[in-house]
Amino acid sequence: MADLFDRILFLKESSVFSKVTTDDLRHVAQALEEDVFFAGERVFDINDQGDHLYIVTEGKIGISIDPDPSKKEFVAFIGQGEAFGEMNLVDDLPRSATAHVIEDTRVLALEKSRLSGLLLSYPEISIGMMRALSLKIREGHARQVELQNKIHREPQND
Amino acid sequence: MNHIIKYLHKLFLIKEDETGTVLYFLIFFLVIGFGMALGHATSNALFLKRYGIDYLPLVYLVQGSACFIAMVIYASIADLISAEHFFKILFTILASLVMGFWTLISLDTNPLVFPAYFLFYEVISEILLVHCALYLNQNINTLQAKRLSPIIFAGLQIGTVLGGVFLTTYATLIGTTNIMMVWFGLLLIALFLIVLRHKLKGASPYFRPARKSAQKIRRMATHIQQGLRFTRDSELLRSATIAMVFMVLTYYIISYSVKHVYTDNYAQEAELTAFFGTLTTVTSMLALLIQLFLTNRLIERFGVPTVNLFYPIVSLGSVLGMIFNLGLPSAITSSINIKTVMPAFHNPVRTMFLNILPQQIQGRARAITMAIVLPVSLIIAGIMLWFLQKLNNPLYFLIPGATTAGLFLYFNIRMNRAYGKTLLIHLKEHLFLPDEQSATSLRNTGKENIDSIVEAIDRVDELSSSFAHILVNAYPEEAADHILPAIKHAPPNIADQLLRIVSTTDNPAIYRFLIDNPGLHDNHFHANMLRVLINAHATDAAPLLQQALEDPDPRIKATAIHGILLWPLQQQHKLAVDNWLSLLHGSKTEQLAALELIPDIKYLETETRNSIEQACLSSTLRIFATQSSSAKIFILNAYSHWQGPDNPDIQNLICEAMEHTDPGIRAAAVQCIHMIPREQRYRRLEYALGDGHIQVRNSAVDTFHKETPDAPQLALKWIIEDNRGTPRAQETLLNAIIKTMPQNELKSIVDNKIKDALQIHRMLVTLRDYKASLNNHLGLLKHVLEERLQQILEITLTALEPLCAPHVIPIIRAGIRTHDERHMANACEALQSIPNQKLTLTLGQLFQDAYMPTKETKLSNTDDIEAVLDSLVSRRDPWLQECAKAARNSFRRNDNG
Repeated sequence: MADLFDRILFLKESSVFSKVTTDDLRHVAQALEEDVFFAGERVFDINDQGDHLYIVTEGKIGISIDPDPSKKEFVAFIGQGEAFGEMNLVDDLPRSATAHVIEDTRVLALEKSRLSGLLLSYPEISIGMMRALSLKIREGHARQVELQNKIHREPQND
Repeated sequence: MNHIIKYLHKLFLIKEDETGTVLYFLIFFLVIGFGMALGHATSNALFLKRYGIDYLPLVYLVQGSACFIAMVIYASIADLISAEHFFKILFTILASLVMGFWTLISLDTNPLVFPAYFLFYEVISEILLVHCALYLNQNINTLQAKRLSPIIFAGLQIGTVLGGVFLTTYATLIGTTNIMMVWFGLLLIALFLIVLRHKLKGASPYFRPARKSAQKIRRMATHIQQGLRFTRDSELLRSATIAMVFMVLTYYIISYSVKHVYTDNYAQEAELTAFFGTLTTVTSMLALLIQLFLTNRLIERFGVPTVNLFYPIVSLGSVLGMIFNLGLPSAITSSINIKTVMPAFHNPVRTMFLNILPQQIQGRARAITMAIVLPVSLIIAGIMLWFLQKLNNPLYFLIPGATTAGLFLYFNIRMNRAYGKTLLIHLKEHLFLPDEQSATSLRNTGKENIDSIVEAIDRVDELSSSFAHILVNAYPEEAADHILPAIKHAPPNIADQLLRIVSTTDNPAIYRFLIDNPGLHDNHFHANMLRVLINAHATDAAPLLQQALEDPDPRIKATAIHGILLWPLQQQHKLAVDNWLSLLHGSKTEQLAALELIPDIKYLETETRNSIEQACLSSTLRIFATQSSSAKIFILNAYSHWQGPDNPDIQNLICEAMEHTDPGIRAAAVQCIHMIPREQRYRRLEYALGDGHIQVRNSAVDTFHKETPDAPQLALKWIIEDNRGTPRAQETLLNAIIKTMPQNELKSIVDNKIKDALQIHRMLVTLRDYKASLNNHLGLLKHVLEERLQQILEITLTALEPLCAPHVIPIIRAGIRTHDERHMANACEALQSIPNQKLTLTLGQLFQDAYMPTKETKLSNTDDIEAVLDSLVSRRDPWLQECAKAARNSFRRNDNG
């Protein structure tokens, strides 16, 4: 069972809250709820309406983007300390992937409506989240440029 | 001496670190102004005496096209290179040309050199003035420009005056042609100054090169086209443009006439040059004095439109004066008009006229003025004078001159009318409330504008209140007459807003109107109406208060109680108290209305006071939990005025409210901190100062000031000696007191915080260097220390900000916030420019070690992790202390395990 300090550490080391100060993360940590999923279950399906963010405290989750939620062709794995479902905290679009439970997994879940309340009450949390998301976009751009360069180089090598 | 320097700094709003820059620009502009005075006098005297005034109209014709071409070329290259680079090129070319002209004139080769020199001066003087402004803009920021531009531009005027004095004294001694060599020398001095300055200080800090584009001319053509379209559609621009045409015509007719008189009166070329010197001295000195001491005062007193008519009226007067007696006195008067009245009144007022237009229109309006209006008007003036001078009688061109001056005045009057209307349209579009100057201007634009405003108020829609504000500011004495009828037929919510606005004029007619119309609108309006009457102490309204005491609406009843206690109406006093008590025992709405009266408890006698206080406390405990957030805030606001006894239940309620998720409730609860036990107050206040919402932090600052007799001293003690509270709480306190803080105290904060940051950094290094892997608690502590290091550095920079140049701290902040190497390098460079090196040396070393670590620069760590944890536990930062305690416990457990 994770105490308040463990929860804050999990939040601080997740990409979405990495730029929020620990002073403010105390309030977010108090809003987290523990949940357990067993191997073979699905946390959510692609195109579900998402209303939670999850942080894995123990176990392993596989992410699949196949339109058929039952297919287990994973594009990524989520392990301890990593978060998933964070985009749904910001936008209202349906889930873009299915989360399969590979090993029995303990998670900390944050409900969207509770986060919205916290953001109004402690606006600096949203500034920190924006910084972290901006960092993610920058990283994405850098990766895209790298890929493009690689694609351009490969035909020349051929 | 030091005392005088300090006084001058204060007088001219110059900060200590700006002295060098201001002095440089002042001297640089003075040299340019001096040179321009010499250029003007020599070019005019040589042309008029050696070539002949008869050719002046022809030169005007050429000047129109030459100015246009020169301006287009200038505009296309000015923003591609830095202003100093352009000046270097310009001064080199100018010096060579002046030397060239001097040689040609001395050798007496070709008489065409005189009109060429005249044209050269006329074109170059325009470019020099425009480029001086651009150069200054690239070297000072907007905030500095507001303070420093007047004093720096005064350098140009002072230079012109000195140039005039020089000409008066030496023109006859050394001769007009040789004065050109003095100008040549001044150009070299200016070149030397600019080279030296930028060698020592580097490039202009605010220069950003524009992208090179081949479409520059096309873009300019588009701007002119758009400018013409705006001119067609805007009455103000249309009138301003036509007025400008007539102004140029009048200007050149006057200019031609006075030159005619001066040429006839002064037979010798050197005498004429000396005369031009004297004239320049007098007119420039007058213009400078008027600009400094009179222009703004007159604009404030009479408004922009009235001052706008000064120059046209004086122009008409001076032309008429010359018609009646074309001699030296009337010519000098006319010269004073165009050289003093025009720069002192017409130019600033014209800028103000254009300022009411949206930004994009202003730019295009200036473009058509430069590219079309000025050149075309000059060409027309040239053609007119060319034909008229053939009639060989000055009257033949002074009569058309009087006509153009009359038309100039007429179009300025039209411009004034259009100004009022445009101001209104602009207000409609942007809904801003006019400042004092706009209100003064509106006051002078005529009756029809009041009608437009009243018409807008009468529409009683959501814009009416904005127009009511305008009316109250511009015509406070007439506002009530126009707004009160609108209140009658407005919907209740708008009537309410209009009543609030008009009541600020404190016109007795408002109170009479309210007393005569007691049944207007809804209960909310009625209660507000009673408040207006109560605040104005309108004793005639006493019967209304008595009636309101019987009103079934609790809000109206509560307002009546407030009025009876405030005035006071002794006869109704007991009845009011009884009604108050009955409201406190009534429904929730009644109790809320009664609780709003808490600030009025002070008007009660002890006995009644006790019973009301007890009833208030009981009522609050009954209803608080069931109320909405806004009602809770409402109740807490009322309790911020509480002076009664302590009540543990209310204290608990306030403490809970301080931890509520709604920041509005937290902020309101902080205002009631005086009700909780004394020993808890400062601890609670400390939490509130570090709250995650600015509204709560601001409320805590207010309360801190109310609760503490010497708030700045205690704040300083918290920040320096006690190092109390989270960095966010300390930053909040620092921001609240920084404006009034002496420099030595700021320095001690900086000094103290640098030491603190250094200590935190060392602890962080110890934690990072800890060989065993960090458990969760130690891992979290590492994050907290990283945050604290950053936050303490932010406080240091906040305290350092008033001690150094304004652009320095943002550069350093960018470094420590991004940790980007380039920004960090800039931050370390920026640190070098801070005068107190003792303070910044350690800071620079810390930056290097924390954000750009190398083996050589690494500061030593404290080695013992347990000592680090013990030290952190003893700190008075609650969150850091809590984390350190948890980390120490888990560390000891692991160690024992």
